[in-house]
Amino acid sequence: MRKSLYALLILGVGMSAMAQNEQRHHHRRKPLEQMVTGQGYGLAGCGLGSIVFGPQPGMVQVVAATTNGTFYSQSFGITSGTSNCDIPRMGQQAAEFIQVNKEIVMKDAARGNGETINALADIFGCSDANVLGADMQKHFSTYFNPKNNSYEITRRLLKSLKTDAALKASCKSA
Amino acid sequence: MRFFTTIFILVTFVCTVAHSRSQPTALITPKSALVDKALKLQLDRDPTWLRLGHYHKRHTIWGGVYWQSDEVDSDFFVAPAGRENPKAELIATLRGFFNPQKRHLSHSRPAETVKCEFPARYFFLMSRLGERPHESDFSECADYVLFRDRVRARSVTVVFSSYYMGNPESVFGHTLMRLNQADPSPEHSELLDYGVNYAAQTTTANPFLYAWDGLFGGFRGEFASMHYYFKVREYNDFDSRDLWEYDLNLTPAEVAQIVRHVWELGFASFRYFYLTSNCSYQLLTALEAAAPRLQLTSQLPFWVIPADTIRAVYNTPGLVTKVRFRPSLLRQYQWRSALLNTNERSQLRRLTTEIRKHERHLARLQKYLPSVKDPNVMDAALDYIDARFGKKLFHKDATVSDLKQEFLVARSQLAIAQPLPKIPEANSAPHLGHGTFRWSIGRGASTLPSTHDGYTNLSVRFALHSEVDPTIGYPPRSDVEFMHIIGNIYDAQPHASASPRQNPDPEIEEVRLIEVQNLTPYNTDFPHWSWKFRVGGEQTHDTELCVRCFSGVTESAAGLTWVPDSISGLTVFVMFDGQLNVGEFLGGSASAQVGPLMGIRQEWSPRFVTEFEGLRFVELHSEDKILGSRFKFDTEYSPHHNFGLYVSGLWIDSPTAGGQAIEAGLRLFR
Repeated sequence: MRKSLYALLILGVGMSAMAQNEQRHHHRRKPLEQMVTGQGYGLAGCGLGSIVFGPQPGMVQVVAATTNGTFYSQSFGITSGTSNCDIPRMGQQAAEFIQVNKEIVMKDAARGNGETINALADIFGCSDANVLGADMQKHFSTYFNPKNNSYEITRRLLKSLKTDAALKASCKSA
Repeated sequence: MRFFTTIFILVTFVCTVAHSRSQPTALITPKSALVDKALKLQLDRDPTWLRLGHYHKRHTIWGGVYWQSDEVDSDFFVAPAGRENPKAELIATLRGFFNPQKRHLSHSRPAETVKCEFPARYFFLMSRLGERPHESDFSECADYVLFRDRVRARSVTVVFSSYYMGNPESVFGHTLMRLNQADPSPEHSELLDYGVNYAAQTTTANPFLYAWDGLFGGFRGEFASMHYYFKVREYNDFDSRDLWEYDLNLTPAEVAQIVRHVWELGFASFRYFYLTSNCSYQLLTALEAAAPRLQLTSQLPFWVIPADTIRAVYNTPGLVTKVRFRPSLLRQYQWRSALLNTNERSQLRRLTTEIRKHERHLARLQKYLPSVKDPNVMDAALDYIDARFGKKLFHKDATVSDLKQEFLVARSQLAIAQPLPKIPEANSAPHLGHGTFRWSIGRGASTLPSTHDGYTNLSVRFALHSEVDPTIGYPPRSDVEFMHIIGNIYDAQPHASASPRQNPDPEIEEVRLIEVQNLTPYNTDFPHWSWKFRVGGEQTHDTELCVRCFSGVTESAAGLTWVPDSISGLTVFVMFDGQLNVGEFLGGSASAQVGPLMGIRQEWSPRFVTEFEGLRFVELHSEDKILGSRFKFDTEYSPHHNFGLYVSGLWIDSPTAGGQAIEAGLRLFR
C-alpha cells in the first residue's frame, strides 16, 4: 500500500511538472499576433485596417497576419463611419506599429533614440530619425500619457509633424 | 451592414482595377498549342515544376513508384487529381491561366483565377514555354499585386530563433524567412519588413494528444506573413530568445519568384510533423521551389532540426552573404550592465532592488528616482523592468505599468542615449555548432550486478546537444537530447563456466526518448528555477527486484543553479530528484527513488567540458527504505567541432545494487 502511495506521489510530481509546463506552453502556443488580436477580427474602419476596436472599451485588436484569408481586411484605404478615420494611411501604419511595440517604443522615446524610433521615422518618411527621437523625448509626457491609446499617440505625433519646424523640415507631411 | 459595405467596396475596387488593367501580352505560341508544347518539353517531370507543387516520389509496398504532393489542401491544386498527378495538374494549370472565371476557394479565402492564385507557376511555365512573362501580366490580380507591392522584396534573409526551454515546440529552435524591402543597411528599418512563418495550427491543449499529433502529422501546417516586428517582439522581447539572421545571395529574379511562391503557399496547408516536415523543412522547400539551383533539403538527414537547416544554408557556397545577431532583451540588459563602471553598477543594484520592492515601496522609489542622473544606469534599469516584468506589462498589469511610467518620465528628462555598442557575440551562432546527430563508440568495464566484465559501447543520438558536447553554437549549459539509444555488447566469457555468457551479448542499456536539463542561474535579478526531465527506458541493476530487466523510467528534478563570477566556467546546481521505474517484473507496480542531487559542471574551454553529478536517494518501494548513492561523471574533449573523445563513469552504492562502470571512446557528430 505504502509502495503504491509513494509511486503515486512521484507520478503526481512528474505529471504536475508536465502539466505546468503544458499550461505555460498552452498559454504561449498562441503566437503573439493572435494574443494581441484577441478573438475575432473584422474589416477595419480605416486605412490599413490593422487595428480594430474590440467589444470592450479600450480593448484594441491588431490584425497582423497577411495570409490570403485575412488579407482583404487590410487592403482598403477607405473612409467609412468608424472612428479614427481622421488618421491617414501612414498614421494607421504607425498606430499599428506603436500598438504592437508599445513597451519598446516608449522606452526608445524616453531615451531619445532606438530601433523603433528609426522604424517610425521610416513610416513617417523622416530623413533624420534623430530629430524625431529628440522630439519624442522632449515631449514624452504629452505623447505617452498613460491615458493615450496608440491612436491618440499617433494623432499627437502627426500633429507635431505638421507644426514643429524641425520635424516639418525632416519628415514628409502626413 | 458591415457586410454590405464590404461587398460594395470589393466590387468598386475590383471594377476600378479591371478598368485600369493593361492589355494582356500577346502569346507567341497559340493558346491551344501551349499544353502540347509543355508536354513535349516534359515540363510535368521538370524538377522545378515538381518542387512548386511540393511533389515527392513515393513507393508503394509492391515496389511501384508514384508522385504525391506534401500539400493537402484542395485549393492548392487545379486538377481534381492534382495531388497525385503532376501531369494532370500541369495541363489544368496551363488551361486555367486563360480562364477568366474565378475559382471558389475554401476556408473563406477570396475567389481567385488560376493565374492570380499561382503566379509562381505562371512565371515558371511561361518562361519555359518561351513566352517571356512579366509582372505586369498580373495587373488584374488585385490581391496578389497588393501583397507584392506591400512586401516590396529586394532580398531574403533566413532567421533562426534560438533554443527556448519554456516551450516544448521551441527547444530545438525555430526558423523563419524575412523578405527585405531594401538591401540591408544600418539605416534600413528591417522591423517593417515582412516575415514569412510556417507553423502548426495546433488544435489541442492536451499534452499527450499534442505530442501525438505533433509527431505523427495530426496538425496542419500553414504559412503566414506578418511584419517582422511581430516576430521580434515575440521572440526577442517576450521569450528572450536571440535571433540570428542569415542574408542570402539571391538574384532579383529568384527573390521575385520567392514572393510569388509565398503568395501561392498562402493557399496551401501541409501535414505538420514535428521532427521531419516542420517549420524549418518547409521553409527550405519554399526556397528551393523558387530558386531551383539550390539543393538544401537533400543535405538533411531524415530528421530535420532547425539548426541543421541553418547549417545546410550556410554551407551552400556563396549563398550566405552576412550573418547578423539580434540580441534578446535579456542580453541587452546584461550587456548594458556589463558596460557600467563600479559606481554606476552599485546605483543600478539599488534601483533593481527598489524595482523588485515596488509594490510596497513605490513612494520611496518616486522620491529616490530624481536623484539618479546617469542615463546609462537608467537605461539598464529600464531594460531590467522589461526583461523581468515583460509578461506583466504585456497583460497590462497596473502596478508595473505605473512603475515603468515613473522611470520613463524620469529618463526622458536626461540626456539622449548613445547608441548601444554592438554586443560581441560569436559563440552561439547556430551555424558554428556541431551536427545534432551523434553516434559514439567506446570500450568500458563494469562491476555492476551481472556485468562483471568488459564491454563495447555503441550509442546513437538523433538530436541535439548534451551538457558536455562542444558548447559553440549552443546556449550555455544547455542539454536537450532526443532519441538517445545506448547499447552495450558484453564480451564473451568462454573460460568462466559459471558465466551465463558464452557469446558476445548485445544489450540495450538505456533509451532516452527525451531529456531536457535547464540550468538557468539563480540570482536576485532573475530568480529562475532549474529543472530536469527525462523519459525513456533503462536496464535495472537491482539484485532485489531484477538484474538486467528493461523498465520504463521517468525522472524529474527541480532546484537552483549557481554560477560564481570568480571561477570561470564553473556551474553548481542542487536539485531535488525523483525517479520512477515501471516494468513487468515489478508485478504491475513501480519502483521509485527520491533524494537530493548535486551537480558540478566545469567548462575548461568551449571544447572541453566535465560534469559530475551525485545523488543520495531513498528507495521507496522497499519496506526497509534502502538508502543509496549514485555518482556519475562525463567528460568530453573535442579537438574538432565534429568529433570528441570522452570518458564517463558511474558508481552506485546501495545494498541491492552496487558497482562501478567506466568507459572511454569517441563521439562523432554529423
